[in-house]
Amino acid sequence: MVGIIVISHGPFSKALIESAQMVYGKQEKVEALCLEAGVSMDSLRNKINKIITEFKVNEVLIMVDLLGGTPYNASSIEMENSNINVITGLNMPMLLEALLFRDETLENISSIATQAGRSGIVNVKEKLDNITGLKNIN
Amino acid sequence: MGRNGSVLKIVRLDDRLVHGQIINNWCTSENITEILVINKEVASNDMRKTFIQMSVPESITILFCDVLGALEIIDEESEFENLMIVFGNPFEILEFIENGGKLDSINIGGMSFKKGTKKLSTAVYVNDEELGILSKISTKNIKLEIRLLPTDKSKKFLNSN
Repeated sequence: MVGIIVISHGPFSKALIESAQMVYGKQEKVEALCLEAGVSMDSLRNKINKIITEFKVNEVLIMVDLLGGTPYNASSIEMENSNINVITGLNMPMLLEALLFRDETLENISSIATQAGRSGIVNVKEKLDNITGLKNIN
Repeated sequence: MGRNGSVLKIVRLDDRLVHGQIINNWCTSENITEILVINKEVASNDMRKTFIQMSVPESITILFCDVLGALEIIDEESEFENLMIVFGNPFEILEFIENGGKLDSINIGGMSFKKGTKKLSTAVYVNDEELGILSKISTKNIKLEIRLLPTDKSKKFLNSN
């Protein structure tokens, strides 16, 4: 099973896990880390490493809110260990999809979650216009 | 504003170096085209440089140097680019100044909590040694302000006017 750590600026990640569990019920080996102001990158790295150790799994996927933020900077350093990967742009579809594929390899679950994160973003008006536009042509 | 017509836009002290607040706020508000990170530790770590580089928009160039390397290129870089300098600690700022680097002002934007530090603002904590260095810097006619985001109120620090 691939362990999942979700890291955000502020409480987003903790709340997101709660939201995901509303859909799929209680999940194992999924932890949130919420970065607060004044917390150093080293301290965040220590927390990440502590969770990884406690997970007792071979592979860990870390999802962070922003490319380039401190959660990203801290977790990307952990990729020195090839059993850890980081994906950015955290959102609900990404986490939900990842929870369904925990027994895949780290490489697969990473790519599945990234794809789900992207395809979950839809401009509904635009999509509607495309669909109704197509109907009018027919 | 920079000296002698150069475009050194902002000098920031932030131990998180380049992160969301810098890219999403400071670079946009100051129209930054180049970031010079002056930090020996990261400048000598290829993996960290690559990860930071990956996170910076293509419109912004990012360079990593130690203090002496920065002094060699700074005049040229600030002539052609809207430059932001980021230091990760006060020690390298002092080293920069003592080796002939010229700074007008420093924005203190992030010093994380560590053991033995005291709180100056939400995201700024310093220990006695760091405070001593910052005091020394403030006596060199350099303005110090504490401000996380461009939209925050600037708070003067130490004896700076």
